[in-house]
Amino acid sequence: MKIVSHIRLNELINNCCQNDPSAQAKIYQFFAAKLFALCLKYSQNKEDAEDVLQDSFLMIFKKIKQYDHKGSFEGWIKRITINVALQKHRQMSQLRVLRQGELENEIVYVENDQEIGIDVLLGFIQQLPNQYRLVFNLYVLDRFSHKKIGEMLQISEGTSKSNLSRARLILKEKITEYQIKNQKASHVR
Amino acid sequence: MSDKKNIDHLFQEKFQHFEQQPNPELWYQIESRLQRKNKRFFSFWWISSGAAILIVGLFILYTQKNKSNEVVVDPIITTSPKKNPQQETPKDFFQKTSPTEKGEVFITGEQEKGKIQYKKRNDHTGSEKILKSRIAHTVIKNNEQKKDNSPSISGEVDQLVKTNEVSEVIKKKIPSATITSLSTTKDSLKNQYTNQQKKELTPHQDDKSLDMNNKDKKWSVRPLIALSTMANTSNSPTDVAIRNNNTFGNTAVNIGISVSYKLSNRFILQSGVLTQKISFNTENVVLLNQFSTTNTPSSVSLRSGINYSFSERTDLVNSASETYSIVDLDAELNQAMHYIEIPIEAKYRIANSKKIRSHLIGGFSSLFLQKNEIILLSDVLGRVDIGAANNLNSVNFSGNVGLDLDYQISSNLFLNVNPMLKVHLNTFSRGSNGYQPYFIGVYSGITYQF
Repeated sequence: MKIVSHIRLNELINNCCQNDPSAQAKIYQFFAAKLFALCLKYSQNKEDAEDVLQDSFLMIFKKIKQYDHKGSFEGWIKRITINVALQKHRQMSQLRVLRQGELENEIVYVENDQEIGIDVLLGFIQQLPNQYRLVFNLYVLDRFSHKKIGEMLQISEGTSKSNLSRARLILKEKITEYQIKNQKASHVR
Repeated sequence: MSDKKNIDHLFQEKFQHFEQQPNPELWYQIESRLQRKNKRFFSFWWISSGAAILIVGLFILYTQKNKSNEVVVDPIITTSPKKNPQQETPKDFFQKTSPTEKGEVFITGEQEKGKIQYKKRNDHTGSEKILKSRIAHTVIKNNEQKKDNSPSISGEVDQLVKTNEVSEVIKKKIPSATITSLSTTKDSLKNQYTNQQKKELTPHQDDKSLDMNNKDKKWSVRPLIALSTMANTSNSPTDVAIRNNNTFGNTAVNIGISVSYKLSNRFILQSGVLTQKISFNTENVVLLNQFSTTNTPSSVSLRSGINYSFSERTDLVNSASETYSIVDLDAELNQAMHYIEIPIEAKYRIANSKKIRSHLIGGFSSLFLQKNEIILLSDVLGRVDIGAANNLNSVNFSGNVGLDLDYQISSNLFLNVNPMLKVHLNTFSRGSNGYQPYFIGVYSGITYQF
């Protein structure tokens, strides 16, 4: 992970305000990996994630003059990236309200006796239906409230909760499937 | 016994420090898109500046060429097979200066083909020298008719010029009758020449080149076409909610007709009827559903069924507590105002040569609002006519300055290029957010003089 001092970062941000190409390249180098990880979580596949990352950096450089240096810069660019990802989904297909009966916001447990690789988990997230994936990411990984998610996605709080529960159940199912498959494979060996 | 784990915690732990490098090629795509954006912004300036530089460059080249072709020397005698209207011959001079009184004395030089070129000087010695050389020249020409051409004459003329001893030489070389008549006309000639010289020293000799041809042509009419844009780049006037957003002008095409009346050699009065299309975009507008915010646009009258409000991006990013319903995170608002323009301008001539003349222009325009619309440009919603500004004055004025270049293509026709800056004075009745439109247009047309 690249480390950048606060002073150096501020200097780079100021240079980016002047459209300095080398400062823009540095900012990209420092944050590309983090933001690409974010894009991967919110997208269906790597190609979509790359599109989101491109648009996010263009947006970041366009808006960088508006960054007020009060909050964390990383938080600010992550928020822009999430918004770009959400906007991308709106563009591609209007998010439909997925409501197949209300579900309790109950805790879902999975077996923890096997190590599961992050790529596998990422694949499971990407395979979720669009709206479930967005809600799961926003709530579980990026810690937004259901109220906020409802407003961001223009859905009700209840729908957000319900979508989250369904997402959890789908993920549990996939994880269990994966674990059983792995167990069988190890027995064969 | 199996170990259970909350699925949320499982994902949170795994993804807490998740990073992945994107394809290295991606940066080059971003970089090229960043460069493209900058190019778009400057495209109008490239075109206009290029055209202006080309015109000014041609103008300078043309005038330089003219200067280098001019042979400027102290009085010498040269011969030329053709009469050049720009270079005054002794014959012209005498016909102009003494058409009646004792002119016959000098008209004896009528058959000569020689001419005198001279450098204009402001000092008295210079003018005296010119006068003397002219007198001497004429006298010599008189002698030529009476005696055969003598090789010593040209040497004597040089001597005349150098020594200023006109009367001495005249006495030696010319018969006494001629001297008498010459001396009687010398004073009147001197006066007339002084007057002539005064005329020559104030307006340049070159000034006459175009005016001689178009002496009686006071009126001219010019159909024209213009490329224009707005120079402003900040403080959007479209709505107070997006007051800090950047703006950029769109290039528009304007047409019109202009009529001019020549008041004097230097001053021209000009008016006409033109279109003036103003169009600019406010960038980075966040489009919100109106129910999510208490803000309603104050300077935009929305069409029925349109229920959006606008916000600046920083409002969303920097306020964690507030929540919004975002329709589009990065929309643009295009504001268009079309006017009928009636200018009244004065043109002052600053340069003139055989083919090219140039004027400074200053004046005012009255602008009558014809079209007022605000268009939303959104990746999500497309292009939507959302309403009109409610803070525009229907009659507006502008202060105009500019430069005008005419290139003569025939005796009555001129090709014209005319960059103008027009500063609007009272576009908005309220809520302009300090935005005063700076309209830049490059007008071109064909001027017909009659």
